[in-house]
Amino acid sequence: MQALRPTLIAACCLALLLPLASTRARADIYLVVQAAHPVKSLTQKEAVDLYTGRSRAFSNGDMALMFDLPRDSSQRASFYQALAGMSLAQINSYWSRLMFSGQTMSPQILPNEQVMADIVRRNPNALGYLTQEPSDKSLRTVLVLKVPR
Amino acid sequence: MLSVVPRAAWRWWAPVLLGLALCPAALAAEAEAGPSALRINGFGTVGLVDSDVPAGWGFRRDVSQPANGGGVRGDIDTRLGLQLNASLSDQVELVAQLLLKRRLPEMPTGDSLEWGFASYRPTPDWTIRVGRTNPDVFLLSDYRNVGFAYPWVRPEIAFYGALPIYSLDGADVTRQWQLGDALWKLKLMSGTSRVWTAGSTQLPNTLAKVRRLNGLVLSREAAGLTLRGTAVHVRINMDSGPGVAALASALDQLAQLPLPTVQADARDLKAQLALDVGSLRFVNLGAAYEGEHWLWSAELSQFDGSLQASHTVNGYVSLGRRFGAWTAYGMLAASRTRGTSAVAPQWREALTPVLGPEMAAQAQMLGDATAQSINTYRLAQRSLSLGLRWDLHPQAALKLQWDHYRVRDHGSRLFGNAHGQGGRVNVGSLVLDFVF
Repeated sequence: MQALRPTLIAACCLALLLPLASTRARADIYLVVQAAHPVKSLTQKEAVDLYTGRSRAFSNGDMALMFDLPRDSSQRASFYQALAGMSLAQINSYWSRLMFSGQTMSPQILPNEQVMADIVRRNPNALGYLTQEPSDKSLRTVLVLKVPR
Repeated sequence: MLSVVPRAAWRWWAPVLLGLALCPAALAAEAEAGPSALRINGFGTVGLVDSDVPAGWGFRRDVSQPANGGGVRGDIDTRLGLQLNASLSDQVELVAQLLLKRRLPEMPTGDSLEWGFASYRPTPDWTIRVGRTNPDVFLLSDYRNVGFAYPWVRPEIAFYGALPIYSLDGADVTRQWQLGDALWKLKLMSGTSRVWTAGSTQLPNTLAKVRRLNGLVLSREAAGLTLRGTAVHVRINMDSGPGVAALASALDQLAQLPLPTVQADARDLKAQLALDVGSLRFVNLGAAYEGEHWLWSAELSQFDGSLQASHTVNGYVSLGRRFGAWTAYGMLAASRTRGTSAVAPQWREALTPVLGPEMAAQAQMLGDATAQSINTYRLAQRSLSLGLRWDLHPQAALKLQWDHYRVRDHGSRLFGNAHGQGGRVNVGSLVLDFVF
């Protein structure tokens, strides 16, 4: 019984945390640029055009450099579902058409959101996305995507 | 040193060599900016095909694959591609793609370099590419090897397999613009190429040199719908080798005989032989839609050229429906070479009094062989395909497909049948497509 106690405590903690985890997974998605970026906001169509390779520039004409999260990650799945209604298989298939035909490169994959925030903070052309609203003043949210609950 | 290397052989290597030379600079830039400047990605397919072809036929993906004897084969769809992208700046990128697949034994190793070009974007709306580029003359031309990118096991074979101009040593310029919700693109391309085509079970493999290909592509994309029009003009050296040259020379001799019907037949047959530089023109219209649940596509092309056998009309329609990770699809396709097939002349009786029975029989054999050789290039087939794609992983899909082909007499070019009889073929395919 003594030996079981830590296991029971761990199970209870996990049970309490699980709803939190699922809430976090369903959080809205925030498209971010550097705070000094001249573009104040993006429409969803502009974001779709940028993340599907149809456009390479922000509305003011500045070149845009898009960043992405790992190909199979749940954050990326939520992002493309909310942005364009596409599953991971669909967006990967779509990008393999553009990339392997040499037309344009898919957004650069970064290992996690921390690196995403760092890169966007440092790169004046960068556009990225985060699953939590950035509290950091060096980043500006240009579009919030509502993830269906 | 370069003087001993044929000009055409090193020309397309130039962007690749430039790329290798500039890679250290690109990597240095990467260290400063953070994002990676050098990326390697790949795609591949492992596939098995079974076909119940008539004797002397073989199912193949395109006419650059060797004629085969049918049965269960792993070399029709199996392939591996590697692509290297090196971004030197926001405006300059180098791309090289290597493709390993079953090829004709005569094809040089260098042909495994599918593309190798330098791309320059002076503004976000202009792209200029120089090197070995991809002539995207049909909807799926430039990603036809990337099975993961389309629902079927392979693009429709009569459409994509009959004219294997897969790379272009030259340049192209693309301008894109937004009009309302639609993205428009206009592309002009020009260059040279080499087209290997496998002969039939009786005719040798040949190399046709594309002296010049000029093409124009206009496309419009909006709300999941892509519309595309292409017009291409090709000047091609159609020399089919010493066998065909010998036939032509023998026909010339027969045309000297004082028999008007034999003269006319011999001249007519010779005019249909692929002997010298000729031209080929084609236009293509394509439409593809991809929605959340439904996807469809259709293409129609018309070929004209200096040879009767190149006057071909191809078309297909395809419809698919997604059910979660599963996609069910079907495709109907038809291809036909216009005009009547070459008919073997009846020379034996007419020539016997002039040449004697033995020579007359030989002349008759020559006429038969010429007609057969001309008809080998004709296409006349219809097909129905049904299949299922399962996206078992975000980067891998398993596909199962059944195709039924009805091939008319003198229309079995894709199946490598030199005898000319029609037939029916069932093809079953199981493939795993992946990207990495």
